[in-house]
Amino acid sequence: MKISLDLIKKYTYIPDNRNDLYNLIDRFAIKSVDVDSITEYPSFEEDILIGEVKEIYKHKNADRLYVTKVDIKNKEIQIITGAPNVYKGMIVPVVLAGGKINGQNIEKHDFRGEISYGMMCSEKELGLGENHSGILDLGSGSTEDMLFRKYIGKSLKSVIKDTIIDIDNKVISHRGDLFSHQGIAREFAAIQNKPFSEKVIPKIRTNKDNKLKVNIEDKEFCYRYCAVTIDNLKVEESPFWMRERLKNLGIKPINNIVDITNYVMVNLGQPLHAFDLSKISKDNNLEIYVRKAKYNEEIITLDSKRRLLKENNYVIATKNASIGIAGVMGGKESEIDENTQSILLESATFNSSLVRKSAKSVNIRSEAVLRYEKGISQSLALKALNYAIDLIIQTTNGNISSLVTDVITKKLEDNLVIKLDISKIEKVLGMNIPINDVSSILSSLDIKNKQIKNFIFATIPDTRFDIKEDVDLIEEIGRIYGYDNINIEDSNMTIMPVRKNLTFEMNNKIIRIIASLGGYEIKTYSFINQALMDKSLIKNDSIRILNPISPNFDLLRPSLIPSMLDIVSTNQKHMDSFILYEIANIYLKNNTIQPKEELHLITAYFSKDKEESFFHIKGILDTINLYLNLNNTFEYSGNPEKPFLKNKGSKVYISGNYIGEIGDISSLVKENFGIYGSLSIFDINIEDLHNNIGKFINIKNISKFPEIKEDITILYKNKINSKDILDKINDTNLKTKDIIDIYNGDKIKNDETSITIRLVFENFEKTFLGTEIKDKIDDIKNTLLKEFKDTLTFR
Amino acid sequence: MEKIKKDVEKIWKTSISAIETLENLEDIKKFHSTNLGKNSDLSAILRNISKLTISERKEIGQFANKVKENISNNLKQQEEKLRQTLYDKEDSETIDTTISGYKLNTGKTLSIGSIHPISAMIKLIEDTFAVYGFEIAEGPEIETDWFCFQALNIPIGHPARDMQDTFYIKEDELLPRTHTSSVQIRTMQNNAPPIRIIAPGKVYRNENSDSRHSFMFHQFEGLVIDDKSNLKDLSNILQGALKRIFDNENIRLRIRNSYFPFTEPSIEIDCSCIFCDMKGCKICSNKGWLELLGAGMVHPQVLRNVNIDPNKYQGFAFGTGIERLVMIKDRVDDTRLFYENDIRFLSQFRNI
Repeated sequence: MKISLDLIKKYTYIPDNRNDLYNLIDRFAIKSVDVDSITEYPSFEEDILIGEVKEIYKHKNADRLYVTKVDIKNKEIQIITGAPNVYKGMIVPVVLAGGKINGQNIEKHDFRGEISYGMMCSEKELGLGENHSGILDLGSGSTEDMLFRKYIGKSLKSVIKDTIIDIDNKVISHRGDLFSHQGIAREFAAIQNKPFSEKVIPKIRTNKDNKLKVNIEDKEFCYRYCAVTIDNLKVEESPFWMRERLKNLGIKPINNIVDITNYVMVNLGQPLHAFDLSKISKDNNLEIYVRKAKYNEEIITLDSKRRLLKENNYVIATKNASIGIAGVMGGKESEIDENTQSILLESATFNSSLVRKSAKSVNIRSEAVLRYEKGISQSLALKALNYAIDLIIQTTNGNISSLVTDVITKKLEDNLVIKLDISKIEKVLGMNIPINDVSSILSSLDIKNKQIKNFIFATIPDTRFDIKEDVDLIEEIGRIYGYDNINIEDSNMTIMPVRKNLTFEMNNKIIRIIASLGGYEIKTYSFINQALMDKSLIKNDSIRILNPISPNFDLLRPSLIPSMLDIVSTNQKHMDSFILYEIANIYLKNNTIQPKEELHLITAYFSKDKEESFFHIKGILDTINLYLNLNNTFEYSGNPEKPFLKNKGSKVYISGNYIGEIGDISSLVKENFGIYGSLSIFDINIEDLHNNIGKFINIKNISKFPEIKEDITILYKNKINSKDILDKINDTNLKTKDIIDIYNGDKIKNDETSITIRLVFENFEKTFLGTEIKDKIDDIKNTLLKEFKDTLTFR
Repeated sequence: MEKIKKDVEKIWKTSISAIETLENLEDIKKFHSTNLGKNSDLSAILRNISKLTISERKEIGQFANKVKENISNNLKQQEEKLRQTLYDKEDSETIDTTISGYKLNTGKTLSIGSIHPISAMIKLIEDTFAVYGFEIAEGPEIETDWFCFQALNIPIGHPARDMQDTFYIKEDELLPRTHTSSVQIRTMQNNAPPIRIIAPGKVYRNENSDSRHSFMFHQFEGLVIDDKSNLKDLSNILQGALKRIFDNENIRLRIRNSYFPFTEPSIEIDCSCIFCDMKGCKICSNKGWLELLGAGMVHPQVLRNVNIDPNKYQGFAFGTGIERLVMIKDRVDDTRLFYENDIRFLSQFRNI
């Protein structure tokens, strides 16, 4: 939200010196609201002066030119102009010969015998707008808020100079009071410890007695409704200063009436609305209703959109029709236009969360909604109405044609009094603040306070809904006093022992093991789409996001495989072979409200060569098995699901529980992803794996006698597998039995595999005799032959 | 006897000249066993001197032994010479040590891989806060409205909900969490004070991706609940932690006023720019300060929501984006790089 520091000046002190000003803005950003940007205004040159046209007559030798005498304080200069709107007494911007405007030099000029010693400027020439039809009339519509007449001879820039700060709305969504210049000014006053003067609003007197009847049907929604009617006014463009002020605050000027309602709103924070009276009432008996919208009631709003209302919308209505969505946006039909002569002016207090709901359902974020949804003090409604009436009467010559109506349905509550234990201030903030400072800080924020023994009794103004309990007061004290006064050297927190988080510890280990084996850890989005699932041939049910950011990310992924395939595909352009891995949750439909989140580890090995990638991936899984110190080994059996090839992979189990799959990826899937090369993946659920991690490593003794290594090569039919064979190889002295070579190439049949097993024997008592080992090998071979009669031979 | 003597002399002569032709250690070993061992010609001669007289035997014996000793010495010398040549040869061989050690093998995956920078930062945060007694806590990513908002003092319809653009699975009921603050609630619900936790994890916001925003990112949340911890302790811990995380001893903090519905007072913590020492640089947009964390004292209403008595207990919470910390520390300038997973990016994080 944009704040004009020039407007703030009407409420409290703002330094003129630029360094002091920027220093203050810095303090404001730290103690009150963060400032996103600072803009200085206006951008035109200092050379433009404020002058008054003292005399004007037609040029003798030129029909379309006028000769004027312009007063620029103690000096009258002659200016020749062709502008049609210049009149005697007009206050105008002037550049003297020798000065500059928009970077261009203005020189004195002879217009058919009359010398012009300067130039009067249009809005366009000042770079303020597109209007070039005449000279800018600075004096029109002057009110006390801006009397240019007082500044004749001064630089225009110096008079309308302003610094606009754009503050971060997000951090004040609890501070309805700060959505106004008056509220922000209170902060500037408190930060500087300078006096604050409230906007003095004249009492409006009316001798009219015709009543405006207001019926508040829904008292939960509308707490207060103030209204008045004004006749005989003239709708036109707002005066220059008003338009500039609104433009600088990011509000588009519309006409004098609408602009005044907006101007009052930015000052006090209270939204107002003006209806064209003739369009809503044909006679003098106007009755206004504040009620719930009827189901499917229609209204066209000011933005020309047709809105279909529901029961959670509230409307302002006459007997016949609704004329606006209450607190959200007015209706098009009763819009103020250039023919409007009489208006109904409204200033009301509505329930903040009901306005928010109503606005959300019709999807409107107006300046009014922005303020109503934060909460507006009930006391503001009448003040704002009177302020607007005063401005309208001053600038339009209109007159009040009704009583100022004020209907209150919710009694104004007594101000909240909070009891604050003084010792708690230091206990929470960790800094010792002198009690006098505490008291003056609270007072500067309009919080009346008195000390009784060890307590402060603070009376909270009705604008500060956010202050509900003692810690809220402590924040006010802390931020204004300054958190930079905290001395962290005195902090003395006790030491607490840290328990292990087994999952995190395991994850960290896995991450490091695979990276050491050459893997690159990746992180992919949790959201994917159906097409990606289809390309991966994965059929799992997935959970849908109601409001996805794009159709590409509308599902919670039930598998890590699709994202992995995607990333493999993009990386193959740069590397011939690589290992990628990720640890992340998958999301599965469940009977409870929340989906089941399962922590998975996926690892992929890709190689452009035709080489076997399977054993790379299997090697990684085996290494994890070993280095996590799992109590049990992974078991491999059964065919894996798609996208794995059913005979080139298997399901993975631990302690009999299924945890995932490993295998080569089908060419169909690889083609879907444009992957060219061999690709193997394992994807396992590691959610409960940490339960299998051994707490201790059982260190075994080492034999003093030499070990004996013997290799045996076996050719077997694929009816059986290597695990079956290894399981049958046993001997009391056998230390390890590892497969060190594997062959299933062309020299043997398709359904056969050849493996070489290295057997290592050890003995703790003596050195083996050669014959002892030979006997052991023979025994092992005989056992295998007996066990696998037709399926196995030795080579 | 003269014949025998001549035979020995002959063996002596041929042996000596043969020794000079030996070219490697293997041949020396072989020569030793064939010419000096039990089955050598010399030994055979000596075995056949029984026909000679004792004095003759003695003479031949002495002579033969002298020859044997001489051959043996010559052989030793030759061996010594050969070894020296070998050592000299080895010494004259060269390796170009400037050639890269592993790339010759690779293009393959024999090189070491890398840990994702987000994982590495999470580990650093975990280790850093462990020093202060913070345990790791976790919670679900798909969270109920109560844990993510209501318990944190953000009722349905509260304007503060607009501070975070939320994805919904079921409106006002189930959502991918928008912050890790939900873990605060789960922890306080299941544990009695004193509590000291760090909760890292994924969070989701419905906002368009650009160089600074991503709809999925990582946060970590810290929470302390006991009977006395306050803003001073918070500042102290964070200053110490940030010194370690950014590996910079000169870090100073600045506290700004802020608003979060679940803390009161609420603050933002900036840290002095680690690159320019507050002189102003590109990284800190010439401000001298880096915006880092949101924090504050846990709101009494939040404590009441989890049945902790705010009159007895108090504490603070803090949190920030993990991507942001990596981006500052490692000068990554586009958050999307973290999720594109290009190995050419990932492999630069040599932080195993």
